[in-house]
Amino acid sequence: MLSYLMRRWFGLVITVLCMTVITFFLTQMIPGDPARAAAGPEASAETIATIREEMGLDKPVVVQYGMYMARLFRGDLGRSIATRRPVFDDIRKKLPASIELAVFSALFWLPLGLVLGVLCAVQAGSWIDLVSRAFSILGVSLPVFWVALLIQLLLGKALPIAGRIDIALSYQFELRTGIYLFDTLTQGSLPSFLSVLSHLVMPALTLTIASTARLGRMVRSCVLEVLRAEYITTARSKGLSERTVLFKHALRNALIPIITIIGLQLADLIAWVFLVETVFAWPGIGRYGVTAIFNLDHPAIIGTVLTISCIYVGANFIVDLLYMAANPQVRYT
Amino acid sequence: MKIRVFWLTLVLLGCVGLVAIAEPTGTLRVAQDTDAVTADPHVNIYVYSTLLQRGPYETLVRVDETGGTTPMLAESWEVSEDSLEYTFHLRSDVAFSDGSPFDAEAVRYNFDRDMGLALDGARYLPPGLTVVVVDDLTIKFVLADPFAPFLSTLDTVHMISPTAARSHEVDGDWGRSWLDVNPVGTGPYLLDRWEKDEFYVLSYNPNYWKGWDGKHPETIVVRIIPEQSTRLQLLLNGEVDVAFKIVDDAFLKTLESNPAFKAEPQKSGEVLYLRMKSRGAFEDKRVREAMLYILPYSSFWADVVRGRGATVQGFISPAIFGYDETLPEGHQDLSRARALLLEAGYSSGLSIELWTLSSFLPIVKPLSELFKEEAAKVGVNVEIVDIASVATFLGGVSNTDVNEGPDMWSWTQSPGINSPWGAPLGMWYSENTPPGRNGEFYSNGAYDALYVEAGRTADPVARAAMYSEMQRILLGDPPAVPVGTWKMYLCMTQSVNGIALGSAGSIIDWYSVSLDGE
Repeated sequence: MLSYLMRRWFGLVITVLCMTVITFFLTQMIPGDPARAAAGPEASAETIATIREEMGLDKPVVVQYGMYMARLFRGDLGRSIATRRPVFDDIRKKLPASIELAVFSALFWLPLGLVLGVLCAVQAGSWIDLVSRAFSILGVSLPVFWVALLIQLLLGKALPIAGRIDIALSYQFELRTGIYLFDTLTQGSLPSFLSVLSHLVMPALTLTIASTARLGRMVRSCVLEVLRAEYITTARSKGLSERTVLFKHALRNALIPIITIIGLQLADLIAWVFLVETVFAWPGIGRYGVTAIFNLDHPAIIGTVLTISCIYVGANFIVDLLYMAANPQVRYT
Repeated sequence: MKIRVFWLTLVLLGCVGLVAIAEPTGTLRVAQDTDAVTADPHVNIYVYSTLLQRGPYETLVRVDETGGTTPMLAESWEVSEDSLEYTFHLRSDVAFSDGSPFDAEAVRYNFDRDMGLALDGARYLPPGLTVVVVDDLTIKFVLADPFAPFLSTLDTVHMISPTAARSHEVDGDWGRSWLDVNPVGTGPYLLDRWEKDEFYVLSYNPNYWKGWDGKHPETIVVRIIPEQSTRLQLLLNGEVDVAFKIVDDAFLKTLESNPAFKAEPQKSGEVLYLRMKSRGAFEDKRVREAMLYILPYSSFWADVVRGRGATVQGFISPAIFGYDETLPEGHQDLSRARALLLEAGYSSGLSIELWTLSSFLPIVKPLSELFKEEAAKVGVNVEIVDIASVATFLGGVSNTDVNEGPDMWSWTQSPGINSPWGAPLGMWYSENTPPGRNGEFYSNGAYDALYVEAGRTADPVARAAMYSEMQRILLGDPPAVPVGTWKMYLCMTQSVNGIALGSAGSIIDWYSVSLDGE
C-alpha cells in the first residue's frame, strides 16, 4: 500500500508541474499587454516600458518560463504585475477567505445533500422525493451568479451583501490564521464574529443551494441503485429491519461512489467560488484569480492555478485514502 | 467686573464648544469598482489612483468643476509677457503630515522627482521645464517654449514630503517602493489602511492647514466592489453613502425615483469614440469619413441610452476648453456614407472587426450593436468582438504593429486636464503612435503643425481657434467617430454634499465633502 501511495503522490506532483507549464504557455498565448493593464489605460509609454522591464516581460517567453520555474523551485511565485506584491503573499492572504467560505458552506451542503439524497432514494416516488427532485433540478440548472444576485435581492435588506466584515470592526482583532470566524472567536471579539457570520450567510447560502442540489441528486441515484441490488433483496428476505438494511448494507456500499462525487463536487465548488466571490466582493482567491485573468497578470494567474491544482489533487488524494477506509477490500496495485 | 469675567468665560467656553462640535465626525462610505494602482501620484494618475491620492496629497493649483484654475498650495501667481515664466507665491501656513515644512525647495524636489521618474505623473509636463527657487515661498517655472495648458497641468503634480521620500530612498528609486503604499503629503486625509482590492480608509489630518470647520467626515472608507448591481444594492441598503460608476439606465432610474437618494450628473470631459486604425480600407480617408455618417447619433443618445448623454459638435466635450459650437454635430447620412464608400472603390462593401470592452464600459454594447445594424445598410459588415480581458483589449488597440489588433474599437477618452491638448486632440499627433496613445496611427501634417502651434500659443482666443481648426481637419480626415459625451453620475444618499468630479473623471477634493446629520 505504501508503494501505491508513493506512486500516487509522485503522480500528483507531476500533475501540478504540468499544470504550471500548461497555464504558463496558455497565458502567454493570449494576446494582450499586462503592463498596460497594470498601469491603467491612460498611462504613458514610459510607465508601461518601466513596468515591462521590472516584471521581465521584455524577455523572450522561454527565458521568462525558465526564470519562473527557477523561482518556483525556491518557493517564490513571483510578483503580481497588478498589485506589485509577491504572489505568495497575496495568495496567503486570500486563500483563508476562500477556505472559510468553502468550509462554512460545506457544513451545510454536505449533510443536507447526503440526507436529501438518501431520503429521496428511500422514499422514491413520494411527495418528498418529488419536491426534492424539483429543488435539485432547479438548483442544478440555475446559473450560480444568477442565484447569487437573486439572494442579494431577497436578503439584501437584512444582511450585508458584500465584503467579509464590517470594516470598522476589522480593527478589533488581530489576524492570526486569516480565518476570520476562528480569529474573532478565539480573541473573544463577539461583535466582529457576528459581523463575519452575517457577511458569510449570503455567499455561503448560494454555494449551499448549488452544491446541495447536485450532491442530493447524485446521492439519490447511487443509493437507489444499491437499494435495487440483489443482495439488498436477500437482506430483506432474511427478515432484517429496513433500518439495518439501509445503514448496514445499502449505505455502506453506496459510500464509495458518494465519496467520488464529493471529491468531484470540489471542482464545481472552486468554479462557483470564482463567481460567488465576484458578486459578493468576497476577497478570496476566486476574486483574485478573476482579476488576474482580466489583467493577464501571468504570475498571479499561475499562482492561483497552482494553488487550486494543489487543493484539487490533494482532495483527490484524500478521496483515495477514504476509499480504503470505506472498503478495505479495495485492492491497490 | 466679576460679571464681565463670568460672561467672558461663558463666551470662551461656548467657542471651545463650537470648535469641538466642528471636529470631523462620522464616516463617509464609498463603493468604487476598481482599486487605485498606487498611492504615489508621480507614478500613476489614473482616475482610480487619483481618488485615493486626493486624500493625502494636494497640488499648487486646482482645476474646479467649472474648469477654472483656483489657488491651492500656491496663493497667487504671475505669468511673464512672453508666457515663458510662471512665478508662484506659496502659502506660508502649510506643513506635510510628517511635520516637515512645505516650501519652495519642497516644490522643486517634487518636480525633480516627477520628471526624474519620468512616469505617468509627468505625462502632461512640457519638455525642457526648469524649476527655480526664488526664496522660501516663491518658486519660478521657466519653460523652453510657451505651453498654454501649463496651469492646468499643475493640477496633476501632487506634493510629496521630500523628507519622507529621501529617508526611504533605496537604490536611487526616489522612495518609490515605500511611497507606493505610504503617502505623506499636505492633504486633508491620511491613508490609514489599505487592503488592496478590498478597501482603503482615509482618516482626517488633524493638522490640516485649512482647519476643520464644517461637517466633514472623520473617516472615508472606500470599498472596492466590482459588480455594479452590488454597488447599487449597497447604496440602497444604506451600507454605503456614495456609489461610483452606476451607469445602467434602470439602476439610475431606481435611484432617481427614490427621494432618499440623488444621482447627480457630473460635468464630463469624456467623449465616447469609435476609433479606426489606419490600415486596409481605413487607409483611405473617404472610408473613415463614411463611418461618421453611419450612426443615428441623436436616437442613440435619446432612445437607446435614454438621454444620458449627447452628441458633440466636433471631437471634444463641451465641458473642456476649446469646444466649438459652430462645428457640425454628428448626424446620420447613409446616402453620403454609401457615396463615399463607392468613391473609395468599396461598391461591394467591406468587412471590419470592432472590438469592445463591455465589462469595463457597458454603454459600448448597445452602441456597437446599433452601429453594426446601421453599417449593414451601406454594405459594411461589422464583426463585433467583445473582449473580456482589459489586458487583451489594451494590448490589441495599442499594439506597436499597425497590422495587429482590431480595425475599429470603442473607447471613452478623458482629457486628463482641462484642455484637449493632452487628450483627445493630443492623441492624434503623429508622434504619439503606440506605445503612445495614437492607436489609430493617425498622421496629418496640417493637423500636427496646428497641434504644436496651439501648445505654444498663450492667447486663449487664438488657441481656441486653432483647436477649432484642428477639429475641422479631423472632420474631413477622421481618425475616429465622435459618438458623443455621456453623463457620468455620482450616486449618493441625500446626506452627502459637496462631492464632485472634475472633467478628468476623478474627484476634485475630498475636503469639500460634508455629511448632514453627523
